[in-house]
Amino acid sequence: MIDSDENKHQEIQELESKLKSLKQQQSSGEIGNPYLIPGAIIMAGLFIAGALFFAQGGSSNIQTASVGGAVGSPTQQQPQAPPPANADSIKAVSSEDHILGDPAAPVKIVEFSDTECPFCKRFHSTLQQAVQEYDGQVAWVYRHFPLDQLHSKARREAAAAELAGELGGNDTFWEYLDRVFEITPSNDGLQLSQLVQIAQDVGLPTKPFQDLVDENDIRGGKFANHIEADYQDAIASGGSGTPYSVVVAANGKTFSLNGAQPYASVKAIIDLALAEK
Amino acid sequence: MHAVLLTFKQIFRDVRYIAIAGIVSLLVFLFATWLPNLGLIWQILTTSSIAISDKLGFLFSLVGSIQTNFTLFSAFYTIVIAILFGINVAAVTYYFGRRKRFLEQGGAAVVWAASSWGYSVLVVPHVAHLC
Repeated sequence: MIDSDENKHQEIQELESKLKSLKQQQSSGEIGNPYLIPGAIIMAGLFIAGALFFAQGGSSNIQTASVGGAVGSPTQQQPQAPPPANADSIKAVSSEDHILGDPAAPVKIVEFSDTECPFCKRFHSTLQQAVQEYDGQVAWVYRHFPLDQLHSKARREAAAAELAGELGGNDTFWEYLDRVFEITPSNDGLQLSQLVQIAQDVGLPTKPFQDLVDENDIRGGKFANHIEADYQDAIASGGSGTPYSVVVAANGKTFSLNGAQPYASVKAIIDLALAEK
Repeated sequence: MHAVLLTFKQIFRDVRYIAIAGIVSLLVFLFATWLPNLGLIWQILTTSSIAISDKLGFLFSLVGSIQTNFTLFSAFYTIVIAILFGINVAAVTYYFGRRKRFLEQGGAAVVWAASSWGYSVLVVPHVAHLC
């Protein structure tokens, strides 16, 4: 009995000395840094979080615009301390805008869009639905936001839509735009010659469109200033990708919506804007 | 592969780790869908005149952007990353829990080796996938 107790006591002492030695080795770094693995795991977590954030680019699939880097832009030099972008800085809706719906509607959705952006194509039908369902309460204002670095044809397509508006008026502009979004496979997939065909489809003379295509001015020909003004307005009001929408309530309060959000989200914002008095 | 499955079995035998993985995955997924509109979300959440039900309705509606604002591929990897992130956090929690328990019991070295091996297997392919 005494022998057994002594043996147990000896075993405990041995184990304790082993544990002490292991702890000493561990603290001296002989058997590895105890913080290495947890650190690696935390780093992995940070990598994943970073990947998520940057994969989204601060957004989901919003196509990143090159701020101040528009092709042929007269403001290509580096801007010095630009004012902070804010949806409240958006240019007021005027008769110069392309408006679908009642221009006197209490809520206006100003959409900055790129005809070659696949998400704009998707969002186009969402806004069509909104204007139909909120007849008289919502007006849709279309402004150009061509992302030249991604879609080299977008600015010329914007010019073609402007030309359609000039030749046929506001309704023809929208008809032309609807047709462009309907036909284009997005991401520069539309052949520029199809701009002439679309003009024919909406009952416009084809020659001016043929001339526009032949001129091949990447800035948008005679509409360059107008398109660039829309582009700069998008940047100034906080747009960093397309589609970018600013919902303006009757009292001037703004809600900026990034990306091709589902109809339910657009509807929720419209309801909030309508509640603003 | 067998070792990875064994590690998974060991961790997710406990329903608490399934809950941790599930909740974290959901939060990461929600964050990914809300990310483009964090400013708007903040604006809406901090507006006192908007009813809580409307605020929640708006947050919920934005989740639908996984269909409208993502390509099929980006939606797929966003969901996969969210799930892997949840598993990673559950594994880290499990690791620290076990480490603490075994340190208290004096078996630090053994569990450190076992756990570190297990988590390397889990984390390394995860990171490699992203790179």
